[in-house]
Amino acid sequence: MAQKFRNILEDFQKNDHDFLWISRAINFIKAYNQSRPHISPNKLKKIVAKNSQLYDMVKEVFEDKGFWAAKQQISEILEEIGYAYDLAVVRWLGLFLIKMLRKSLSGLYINESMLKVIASEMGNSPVIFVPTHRSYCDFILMAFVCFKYNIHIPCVAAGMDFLSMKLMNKVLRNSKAFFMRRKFVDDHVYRSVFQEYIKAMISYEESPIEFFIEGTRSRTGKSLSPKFGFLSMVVEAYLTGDIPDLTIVPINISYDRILEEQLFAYELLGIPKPKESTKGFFKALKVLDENYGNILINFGDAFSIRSFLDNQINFRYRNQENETNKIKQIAFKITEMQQSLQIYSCFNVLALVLYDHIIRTHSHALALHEAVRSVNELLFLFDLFCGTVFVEGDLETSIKQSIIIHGSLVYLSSENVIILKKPKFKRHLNQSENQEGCYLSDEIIEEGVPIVMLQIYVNPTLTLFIRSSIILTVFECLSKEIEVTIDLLYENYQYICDLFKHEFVLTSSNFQEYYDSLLKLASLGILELHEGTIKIKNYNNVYIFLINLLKPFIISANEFCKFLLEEDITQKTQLQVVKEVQDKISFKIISGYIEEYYCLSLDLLSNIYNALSEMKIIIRNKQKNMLFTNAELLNDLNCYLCCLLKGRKMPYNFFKNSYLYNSIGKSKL
Amino acid sequence: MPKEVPSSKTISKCDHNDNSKDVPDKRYDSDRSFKLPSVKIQKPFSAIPKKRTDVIKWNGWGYNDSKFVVKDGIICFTGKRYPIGELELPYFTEWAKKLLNVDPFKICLPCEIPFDDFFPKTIINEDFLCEIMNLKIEHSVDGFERLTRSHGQTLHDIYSLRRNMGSIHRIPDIVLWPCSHEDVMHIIALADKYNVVIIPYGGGTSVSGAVSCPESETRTICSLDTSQMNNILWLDKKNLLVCCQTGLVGQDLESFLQERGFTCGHEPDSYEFSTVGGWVATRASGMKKNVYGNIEDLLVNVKLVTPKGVLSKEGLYPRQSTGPDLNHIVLGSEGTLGVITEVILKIRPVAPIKKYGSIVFPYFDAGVACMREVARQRCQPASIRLMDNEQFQFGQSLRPKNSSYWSSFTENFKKAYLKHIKGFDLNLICVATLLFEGEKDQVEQQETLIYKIARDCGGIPAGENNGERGYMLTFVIAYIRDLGLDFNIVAESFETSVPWDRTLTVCRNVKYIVGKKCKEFGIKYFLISHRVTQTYDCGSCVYFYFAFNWEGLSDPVATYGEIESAAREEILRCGGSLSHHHGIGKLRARWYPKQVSQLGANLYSATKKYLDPNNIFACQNLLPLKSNL
Ligand SMILES: Cc1cc2nc3c(=O)[nH]c(=O)nc-3n(C[C@H](O)[C@H](O)[C@H](O)COP(=O)(O)OP(=O)(O)OC[C@H]3O[C@@H](n4cnc5c(N)ncnc54)[C@H](O)[C@@H]3O)c2cc1C
Repeated sequence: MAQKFRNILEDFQKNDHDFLWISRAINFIKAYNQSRPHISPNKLKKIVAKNSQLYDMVKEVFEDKGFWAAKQQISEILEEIGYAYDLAVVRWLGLFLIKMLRKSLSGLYINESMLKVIASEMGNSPVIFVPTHRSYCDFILMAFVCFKYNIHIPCVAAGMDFLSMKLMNKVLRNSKAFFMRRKFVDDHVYRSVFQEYIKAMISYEESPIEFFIEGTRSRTGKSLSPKFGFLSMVVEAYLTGDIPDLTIVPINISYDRILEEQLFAYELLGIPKPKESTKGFFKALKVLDENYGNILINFGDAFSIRSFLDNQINFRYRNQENETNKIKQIAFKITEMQQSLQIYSCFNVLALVLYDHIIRTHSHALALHEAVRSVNELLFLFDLFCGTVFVEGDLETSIKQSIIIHGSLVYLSSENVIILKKPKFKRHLNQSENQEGCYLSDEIIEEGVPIVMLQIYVNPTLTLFIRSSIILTVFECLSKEIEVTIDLLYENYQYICDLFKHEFVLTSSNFQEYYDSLLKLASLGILELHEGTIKIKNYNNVYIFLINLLKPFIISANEFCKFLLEEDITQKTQLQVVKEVQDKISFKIISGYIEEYYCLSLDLLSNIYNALSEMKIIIRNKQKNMLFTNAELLNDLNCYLCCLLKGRKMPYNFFKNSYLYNSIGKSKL
Repeated sequence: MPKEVPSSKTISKCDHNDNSKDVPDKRYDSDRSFKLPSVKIQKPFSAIPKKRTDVIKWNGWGYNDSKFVVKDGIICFTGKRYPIGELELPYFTEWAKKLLNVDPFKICLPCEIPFDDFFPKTIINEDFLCEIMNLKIEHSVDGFERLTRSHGQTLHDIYSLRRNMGSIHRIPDIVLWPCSHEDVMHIIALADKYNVVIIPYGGGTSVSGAVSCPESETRTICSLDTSQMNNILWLDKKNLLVCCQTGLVGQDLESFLQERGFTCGHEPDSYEFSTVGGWVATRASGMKKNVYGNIEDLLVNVKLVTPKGVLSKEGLYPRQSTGPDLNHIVLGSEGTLGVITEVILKIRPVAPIKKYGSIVFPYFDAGVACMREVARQRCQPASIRLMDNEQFQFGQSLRPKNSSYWSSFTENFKKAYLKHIKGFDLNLICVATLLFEGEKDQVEQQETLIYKIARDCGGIPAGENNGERGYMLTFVIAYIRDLGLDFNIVAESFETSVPWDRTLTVCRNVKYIVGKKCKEFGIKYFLISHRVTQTYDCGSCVYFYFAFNWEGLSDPVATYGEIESAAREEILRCGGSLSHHHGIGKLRARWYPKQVSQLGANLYSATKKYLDPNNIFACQNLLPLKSNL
């Protein structure tokens, strides 16, 4: 596995070659080379501005103000969106980057052979890079890698937050970033202009195009549910016949240590982040003096939209519903591929070990030799679950090395014990302003931040284990003694999958995946499958490990339900509800009812909120702008979760609760 | 294009009120019959004799004396019929080497004319043949005569003849040469009586498999060769009409008319060999349709001999509102409903001025935008065609060394427009060729307007010379495939018509799909190129050329077929039609019902059942075989 990757920093060992390298003559590989001359970024904007269809689309908005007002606004929006390109800026950026990377990374690994295949097949259709989004570094790294391999640096969709950063926005724009407002569905003019711009870019541009399907950086280390907006605009260009095909390249960028880890931990707890500013950015650069270990960029198999859609879409008789469905499928396929491209670092495994240790013993310290032993055990599990762990050389050395890299979170005491660090927390004076979460006490923050940070490194591994974890958790209260049928277990498994659909992006809760997980558990000796029934054979260490993984999530969900049962939410907004649930949980933590700090994560709570609305447990009445709950379903879920948490056996006919009943009815259709 | 075509100078302006008698008499009354008994029938000069193979190839395209050959590693064109004749083509040789990896020293000669015992055994209905002989209708059961009427000009046809003779199983059993409408009526009556299959055969230039024999046919198959039905029946200068038999070959009709100051103006690229009957039967389209119209616009009246009788309208009316126009049942019937024996076509006085032109565009899309605008303003010249860069380059390569007339496009272009050449990338540019016909001031007006539109779209006029060469090459290009087949290259063309807003999509996507498929099949060297050959109010006709080096493939024709099918599916999906002018035949039958709706297909089928209840016109064109559905 490891030999698939090449550390490209090795090519930059000598400082004095840097300048030569960035100033080299480059004959860029074009991603899409149609029989048209190259079009400058400005020309591209002009083409869009001249588009008469665009004008027709927006003209009602300008009813009385007329043609020129519309033109004016269109061109203003285009100026805001449009990317520019200055090779000099890119070259200087390259120089700066190579110096930074050399200083703060041990290695920048690329699966080079795949990238070369992708590059060699470029030219016939637009190429879309879709990397995971865990850090701002994602942009810059992708540009750097393309520059290194003589591929045109990608046009990349950037969020508006960069626009407020003075110098930075220029640099980004000149290295082909285009800017995209958030949530603009209702802004008719903006949406139309943006759509046309993207369409024109897709069909005229010769560079690859890059966007983040997660929409924003994932603060949790887990994939976010894919967003469909940008993807559907891109696919639209294919469906309208502007381009013959689209090549999609899912990419996973795995970080040993995420630059923004601490920031994310605070954000997850709802403590506001400083606004992005260039000054802040340079301050952040100081952070780069630390060592960030390795970054691995794993390019996945490129796939063609044309082949994916095959003949299922008719260009002439468009079918909205069908297309929307297909776009969802594509989006989930990309996420799924990104997940399977994940390469785990030694620290991900160590984080799991520490997490498990903390849940079992409530101690924040673990002896190194024990940690090494557990990591070793877990590696076997990773193997079985097809997770790739990037470990070079001796395990103990690697673990020690990763402890050093993650000095912000853990340290090795003189007694060779790994200890979780508490952060130095200074509350900003104006904290209560624009705070998304509830007020948290200093103690909770100090205890919580390291746990949440740790969870950020545990989370990526959940993709591997979560299905098994759900199975065992559900099984535990279905029956401890008697056998359970595969189908009954599946129904219950689906119920919980629905609940955590957004949390774990369970792209498919289909039977095959479920069954595969059962087989894995069987091969671990935990389960026994016999003629359509299942029995637990062995409550071993792995069993407990797997059960523990789901715990904070179940607790949060349960607390959420309890909150809904107790409180009247009719007049509240989603944000308020989430905030109040968090408040409730923090209270229970203080009073010792709950020990899992990750339950406080706002991200987790909003995911639950969204799942509950999709399960029709929370219902929004749009006309009255009020929230309601479905009492029957809510009660069912609450009881169910209580049982799961207490490991109590459920009354038998309970599984036939009304939600399950409905969803089973649906799945049988 | 034969050199003998009279140039505009030699043609005297025709007199519209000419009553002279050198032509078959014009008609005084509007008698509804096609032929007045008193009129002396004129037999025009016939470029192609009854024994076709004396003049044209039995296993390829065109005249025997005209072909591409390789001499000392250099490709040349033989004969004096075409302007590039007897010249060495070194650039073309290089082009073929580079693009298609052709090794000019590695020739694989085609099959020889087979011996008599090679030909498939005849199935003869003796009673039928006996009656035919009694009627003194010429016939033959000679193997070679039968073979030469067993095919058209598809890749499959020519490949079989040149390289895979063993695959030829079913050919006609008898060849018949009727001389008149009456002969045909007798033949059809007998065929119906004895259940003998009739396949009308005109010029044999079909590119849809239309004239080939269905393999499964167990009845006697007669090839009804119309070549001896090539008389002009009358010429009506007052109404500008000509009446002729349908075996008349395009170039013969044209020379006959031009000698008298008229033209039919219908010039499909195959008009040297294709027949009037073939045009009607396939709904052919001519290069100059903008001025003269397509065959359906030219056709005033037609006679179709069916087993149930003769279908024909009354009179010489310019237009009628008399229910559905039954001409349109005949047009495009592809030999499945009956034999077209006589037609009345519109003619025009020969235009005094004929002038070529060309425009160079920085890239293809700009050219299409110009074509679209020209169509919007309805100011098309007689012909306007837009080649893509591949075809431009290819056209460039087809020039001999050191010849001023032939000097390269770029040289011509540079000379004229040195100042503008900046910004034009030779690997992206594409060229439109123009042909103007009309009165002097008319042509001038048209030129001004078109060059203005062109400039607005980023194009620059590139001279007459380049335009003329473009049209001339059209006729030569058809000869290349035969040479290719000797060097492991298969080539074929296909076409479609498509609304304006889908034109570029069709071009782009077909290129893409073909490239993708080639890759799938491991084809390394291929050429896919397109041109927009016609413009209409609401769309265009796009013509594709596709060729590849079949090295390493066991069945190149089958592979070709799969790729063309994929391209066709893509065309249909993008909103292009099944065919603009090549027709359905057997090749495209499987898509026919979908194109015209199942009800439409049933309607056609019912018509066929009524007109031909015993299915003696069993060539199986249009409707797909059940087994293929
Ligand atoms: C190099 C080349 C260039 C071409 N260029 C053009 C072009 O520019 N435009 C265009 O439209 N086509 C073109 N074609 C296609 C072809 O020439 C036309 O389809 C032409 O109309 C066929 O005429 P034909 O006399 O050769 O008919 P054939 O090939 O002999 O027959 C074609 C079909 O018509 C039927 N048929 C022929 N005569 C009669 C009749 N008297 N009564 C009833 N049925 C009959 C036959 O049974 C058959 O089904 C081209 C073909 C080639 C090879």
